[in-house]
Order: sequence, then structure tokens, then C-alpha cells
Amino acid sequence: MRQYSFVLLLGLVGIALTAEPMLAQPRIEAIDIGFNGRFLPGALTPIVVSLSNTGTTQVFDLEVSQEVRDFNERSSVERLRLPVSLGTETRKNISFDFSIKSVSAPLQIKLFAGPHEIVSTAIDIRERWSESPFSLGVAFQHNQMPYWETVEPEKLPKRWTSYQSVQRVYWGRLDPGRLSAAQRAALYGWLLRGGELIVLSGDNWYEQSGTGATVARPSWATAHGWWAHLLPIANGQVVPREFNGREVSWLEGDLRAGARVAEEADGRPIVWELPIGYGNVLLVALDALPLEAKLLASSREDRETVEDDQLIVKALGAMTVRLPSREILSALLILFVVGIGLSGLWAVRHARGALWVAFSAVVLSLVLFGYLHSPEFSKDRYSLDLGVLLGWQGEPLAWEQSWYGVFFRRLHNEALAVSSDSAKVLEPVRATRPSGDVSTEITPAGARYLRFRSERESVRFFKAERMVELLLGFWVDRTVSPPHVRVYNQTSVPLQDAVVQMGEELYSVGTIAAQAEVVRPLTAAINKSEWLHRLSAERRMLWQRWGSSLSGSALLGWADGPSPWAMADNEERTIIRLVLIEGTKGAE
Amino acid sequence: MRYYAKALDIVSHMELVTPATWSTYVSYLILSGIPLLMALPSTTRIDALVEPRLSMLPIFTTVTTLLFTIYSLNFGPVHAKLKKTPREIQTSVLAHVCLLLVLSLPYWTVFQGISGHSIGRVVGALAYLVLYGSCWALGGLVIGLRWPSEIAQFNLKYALLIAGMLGTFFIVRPLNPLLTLSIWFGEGSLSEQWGFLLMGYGGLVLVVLALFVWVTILLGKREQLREGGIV
Repeated sequence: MRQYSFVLLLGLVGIALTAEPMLAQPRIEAIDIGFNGRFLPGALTPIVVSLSNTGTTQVFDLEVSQEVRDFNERSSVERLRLPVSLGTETRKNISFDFSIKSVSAPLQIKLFAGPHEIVSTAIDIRERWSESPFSLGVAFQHNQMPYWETVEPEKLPKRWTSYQSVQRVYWGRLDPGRLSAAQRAALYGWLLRGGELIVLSGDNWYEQSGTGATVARPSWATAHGWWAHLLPIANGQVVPREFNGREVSWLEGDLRAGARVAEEADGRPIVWELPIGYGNVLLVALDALPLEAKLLASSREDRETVEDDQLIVKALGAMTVRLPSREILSALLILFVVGIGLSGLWAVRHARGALWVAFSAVVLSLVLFGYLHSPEFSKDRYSLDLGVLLGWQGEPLAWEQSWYGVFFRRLHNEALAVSSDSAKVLEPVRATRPSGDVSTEITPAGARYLRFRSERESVRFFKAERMVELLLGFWVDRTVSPPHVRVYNQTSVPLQDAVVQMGEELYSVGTIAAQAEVVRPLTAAINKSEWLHRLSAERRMLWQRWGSSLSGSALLGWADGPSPWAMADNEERTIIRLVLIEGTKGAE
Repeated sequence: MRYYAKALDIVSHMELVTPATWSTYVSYLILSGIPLLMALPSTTRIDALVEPRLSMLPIFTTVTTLLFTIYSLNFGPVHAKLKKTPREIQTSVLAHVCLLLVLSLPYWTVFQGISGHSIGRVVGALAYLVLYGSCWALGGLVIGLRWPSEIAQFNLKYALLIAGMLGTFFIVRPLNPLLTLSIWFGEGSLSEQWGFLLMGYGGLVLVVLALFVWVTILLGKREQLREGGIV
């Protein structure tokens, strides 16, 4: 009996030892959604998933999805997949941005090992959504304002796309050196795109200024160089002053080029403003908001409109697809039938007549095949890439938006690669038929793939955004007569039909080759309405949306690349990119 | 080269072209050509191409399939009347089916070009069509040999055709040409339909073989009766 018990015990230990690696699986430890658990529906929301693994080293697929139903009860699934490599006994935080479309449908987070689902969890998000964009308060002792979400500096996003649901960031007692390079780049990208950073200085200034903020020409790459670039003043110093009947710490400094005094109190600047791209940095001389109501009524424009996204729908729809000539095909087929009918008279009298007729049918088939499959008609996809590169003189990065519309002639399983910071699917306002789901996959190298199934004779629309290094610029030299403009193009593509705008006047600069610089005298202004008339329909469409509201000096031009969208085989693509560099700071 | 010459010799001795059969070919081309001409697209804007509209391509495949079946069926009774050897009759009826298909090749080439289906799919569908047409041609030959009355032949032919077409929508579906061609020319993956297609082709081959044997027996009996001076 004892022997049996011993064998049984040994067996159980053996099973436990062999089964352990099989049973050990990765686990989802925690999921952190949005800012303090809150999100804005429709905007990209930062999500951090903490994973742990007690099993063997393995590559998993982390999938986040949400099933959304529209008013017609039509279901669509928003899905994002990321491969995750988890070593033995490791814990990893996976951070990504996901657009939460529905406020009622749960968020599904799953972990796959190959095709097998191994972990799954559903998150109820019904109580977590916000009606309006967020205001974040960074490095404040406590939640000083009821309308902002206090965020730890370490938790500030590392991608500018994560800020999509954020309207304002209030900066408190925080040394910019505490932010990582990725966090600084993210905040800067968000500013370019229209964010508003409100720096409350006063007593916070000693922490904020660190040691390098007053350096004359700080390097952009360093934290304090970056900070100095954002601040509207230089040589800032705090002085004690009496304000509203009490003594406060008051920041003073020299106004930088491009900045302005937004508000004054007792004849002294209390708020300075510096535009950064479409965004603003507001520096408040105190550590609190004295003009709260005024700041909240900021005139921040919503840069993303449905009309912008529909431009591509309109432009692609107007494109013409070259198909084999109906007239040629009809004529050949009719002649063939007539020929068969007539040849019957001859064929009945000849033994091999039928063979010759069959042979002529085969020859005609080959001729038709050659015509139908000639390179002119062999394209599977016809696409249009409309883009806008918005740059600001003096800023190191530019904001590039690209709308991509593609018409599919055939059925395909597509994997559209896009090199961008964000990519989303656009739905036409008047869709003629429902389009299937699109699944986004982000590889460890950061490459983004949009996977979907294209139907026959169907269209798809996408939008991508990215921050790119600004490699174009211009400089107007007024010290000479007549004034000259110097335009440089360090990109890999020529800048076509460039014009320089000076107030209401336009001056033609011509095409600037890649990696080239030209100097042109600003002598004869061109007629604006004639120039507009000469633009193609697509170019005019882009200019009317993005270029027509420009005031001051600017450089406008057109480029046919580079496109963030990878070119597929058998694709005929038209790329039209408006390059717009505003001379906001020191251009002249 | 020797086999080629032999095949050429066999075909040369066939009466593939008679005034009666030639009108069959021409009417087949005219009737199936109309929906194809209507399906031809022309250079146009993308927003017009994606608008929902009636596609004539499925109508072309349906019309062509039905006409091919009917004309193939009619080749049978015509051949039953020929005073030739059993081998010559069997070869000729199948050659007529093949010639009908060869003459429609320009149509299928245009269809492939404008539909965007792969050549493999079109070839697969045409192979099915030839087998299916052969079935009905041999079936028609059996009818012609067993029931000499033209009224009986007419009634039997079309009753069988309608029953065969409708019946295979519900049972032995792989033997329905419209269903099988909808797989070849559909938007689904073929890899999920291999079983269905295999049953379709296998079933047709078996039916052709069975009918071929039956026709051989019937023609043999007729030959014996002829030699005996009864017919």
C-alpha cells in the first residue's frame, strides 16, 4: 500500500513539473486607459497594458478591439494588433493609442499565441467618457482647478497622438528636464497641431527655469533648449510685487521675436503668448490664473473638420479610370459574329472549314487578351494622395497630413503599409455601400499596416498624420534693392511651381530642385486670380482650404512625394502635396 | 506530330459544319453576345463606377451557361439520326460541344478582362461548362436513340433539363452549373470550396462516363439491328 502511495506521489510531482511550463501563461496585470481613466470618444486615447509572463519566452499578439454599432444596427469592429515579445519572468508595459468610438460597447483586450487566444478581458468604459476635450494639470500639489485632470509628469504621453483628446496643458512646478526626449517631442508635436500650453510661473519659475532657460541660443535637443524655444520671453527673473493686495512672485523678462504680450496688469505684462504652429504657449507671470475666464475663452480652432476629410472623397470621385474601349471591343465582337455567320457558307463546303473558324476564334481571343491586358489597362488600383505639409519658419518640425483615397477594380486582401504617427479610416458622408472592417497592426519596428479586404469596384479612404523634420524654408532679404527671396529645399523631391506670398502679393519662384537653393528677386508680382485659374482642380482644392487664409509671408509649392503610403503593385497613384511654410518668426 | 495529323484527320472527317449546326453556333453567339456587349464598361469617373448599378456580367454568365446547355442538349438528337459508326457519332457529338465552346472563347476572354477574375478561375469554369455540356449532349443522344418520335424527344429533353436545373439547386448541388460558376466567379475564397468543386467535377465525369457507356450500348444495339437488316 505504501509503495503504491509513493508511486502515486511521484507521478503527481512529475505531472506538476511537466505541466508547469504549459500552464504558465502571460497575464494582463493592469490596464490604464486615457487620462486618469477617462477618454474622449472618437479621439485617440493612450492605453497602457501591463503584461507579465511566467512561462517561456514567446512572441504574443496583443489585440485591442471594440465593436461599434451604428443607428442601423450595422456592426463594425475597430481593431489594433501589436506583437509583443515577453521573456521569462518579465513584466512589460505596452503603450499605444486607440480610438474608442463607442461609449457603451466594452473594450476587448486579448492576447494571442499564434492563432490561439490565451487571455481575454473586457473593460466596461461606460462611466469613463468625457464630453469635452481634456485640460491637464502637470506638477501641481493638488487638483487646484476642478476642470483639469492632474497628471504625474512621468505619465505624460510619449507620442503626440496621445494628446488628441487634450485641449490644454497647465504646467506647474516642474523642471522640463524631468521630461524624457520622447515626452518633449510629443508635447511639441501637439502644440504644432493646435494645443495650448499654459505655464504658470511665479513661485514655480525657479523649478521651471532650471539652469538653461536663459541661455541665449540653447540647443533644441536638450530639455532646457526645448523649453527656451517654447517660452515667449528670454532672461526671465522673478521679482516680488504687490498684486491684488498681497505680495506675489512676479515673472519678468524680455519679449522674444514672434511673441506678444497677451494681457497686462498695472501696466506690466502678466500673460505672454507665443504661437507654435497652430498652437500657443501662454506664460503667466504668476503661479495662479488671474484671468481665468479670459484664458478659457481661447480661440483655438478645431483643425480637424469633416469637410477636410471629405476633400479626398470628392477628388478621388472626380478621377477618371481608363478602361478598354467599349467601341473597339464591341466592333471586334460584332465583326466576329458576322464573320462566323458568313464563313458558314464556305465552311460547309470544306472539310477543314470548322477548324479554320475555330482557329480564327482562338486568334481573336489572343488579340483581345493582349489588348485587355495591355499595361494601360492592367492597373488594379487607382489612388490619389492629397497632402499638406505645414511648416513654420523657425520651427524644427512640420506637420504633415495625408489623405489617401483608392479605387479597387479587383478583390484583394490588402495590407496597406503607412509610415506615419497616426492613421485612420475615413468614411464618406454618403457611402454607397458599407465598407468592411480595417484592422491596424503595428510592428515592433513601428511600421503600421492597415489590413482589410477590398471589394470589386470599391473605394477606401484613409488619413495619416506625422511630424517630419522641416527641410524647406525661405528668407526675404530686404536690405538689397529689389528685395530678394532665398528658398532652400533639402528634401528628396523638387518643390514645383513655388510662389512666395508677401502680404497680398504673390511672387513666382519656379521649381526648386531637390537639395537645391535658389535666390530670386521680388520684382513683378503675379496676378493671383490668373495663378489660381492655372491650378489643377486638386491643387486649387488644397489651396482654398489651407492656403487661402494665409496672411503675412509664406512659401507655397507643390511636391509629388514622398508619400507615407506604401505603393502596391499594379497601382496608379497621383500624389499632390501642398507645401506651406509660414514665415511667422524672423522670416523677414 | 503523328497524333496531331491523326486528330486532324478525325476532325476533318466530322461533319462539324452543316447548315443546321452552323445556325446553332451563330444563334448561340448572338444571344450570349448581347449581355456581354451590355456589360462592357467605358472610361469613366470613379464616383460613377462605385455607384450601385445592375451588373450585366452575372447575366452574361447565366445566359451563356443556359444556352450552352440547351444547344449541347440539342446536338444529341441530331446526331442520333446520323448514319455513322458508333465511334464517329460519339466523337462528333463531343466535338460539337467543344467547338461551341471554342467559338465563344473571344467572349470569355473579354469577360475575363473586364471582370478581373484570374485566368485560372475562367479556365476552371470553362472546363466545368464543357463537362456539363457533354453530359447533356450525351443525354440528348440517349433520348434521340431511345425515343425516335420528335414530340417525345422535345418533351423529354426540356422536362429533363428543367428538372435537372431546378433539382440540383436543392440536391446534388455541385452538379448545378449556376451554383458552381457562382463559386468560380464569386468573391469568396476558392480554398474553402474545394470539396464542392471536387464533387462537381467528379460527379460530372462519372455522369459522362455512365452516359458514354449507355450510348455505346444503344448504338451497338442499333448497329446490330442495322446489320440484321431490321432497321
